[in-house]
Amino acid sequence: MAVNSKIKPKLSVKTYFRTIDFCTLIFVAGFAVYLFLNESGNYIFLLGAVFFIALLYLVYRGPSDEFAASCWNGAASYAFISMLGLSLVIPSLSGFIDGMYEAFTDDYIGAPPADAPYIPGEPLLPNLVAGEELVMAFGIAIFLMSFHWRRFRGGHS
Amino acid sequence: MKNKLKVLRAMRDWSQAQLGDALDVSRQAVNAIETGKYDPSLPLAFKIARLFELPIEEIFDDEFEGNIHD
Repeated sequence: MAVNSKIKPKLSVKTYFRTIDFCTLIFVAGFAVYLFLNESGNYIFLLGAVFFIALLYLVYRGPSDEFAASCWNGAASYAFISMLGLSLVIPSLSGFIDGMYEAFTDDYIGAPPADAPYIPGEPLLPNLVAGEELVMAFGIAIFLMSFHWRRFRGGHS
Repeated sequence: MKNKLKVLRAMRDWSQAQLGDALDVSRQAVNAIETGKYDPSLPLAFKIARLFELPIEEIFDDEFEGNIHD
């Protein structure tokens, strides 16, 4: 520990938690922009880049406090397992949602007939569940929620 | 794991922040240890024991009552 601290001083717990708060704010802002402005281009990319740099900074410097480190480790484990679980569930979930959609409407959104005309610029199937984006957003949300849960449950700050 | 950290701290009239400073950890860490929601690492447990000048087993109780070879 002493050797590492000479190479790169670890972040104080205050700075560490503030940076995580900043990441949470960025994530919520990104989600709001996606939901309410229906924007998935430049703004999301910019917010994602800031979020990623902030996380990279946290990983590179690391916390000086072992409780903060335990919050990170626990949250990362939950995020990993939930992302893995969701990756397995998404195809079934997508099929279920499509099936329910078909059952309650007259729209056919299953496999298109072989002779269906291709319309350039429009997907043949409606993308009700955007798999990769959903898994990523879900993983980050689980990470942040788990981190804050551990932090406030243990720290009451 | 149960511990007597809160009692020992109160006996010395220290705040969680003061104890945290003495141990070089955050106030949140001290609170989490006191409430039993976080078990300290072995180096930190030794640091706590040295600070209070007590053996580790007098501060921390692992609630283990059986034979270690069982």
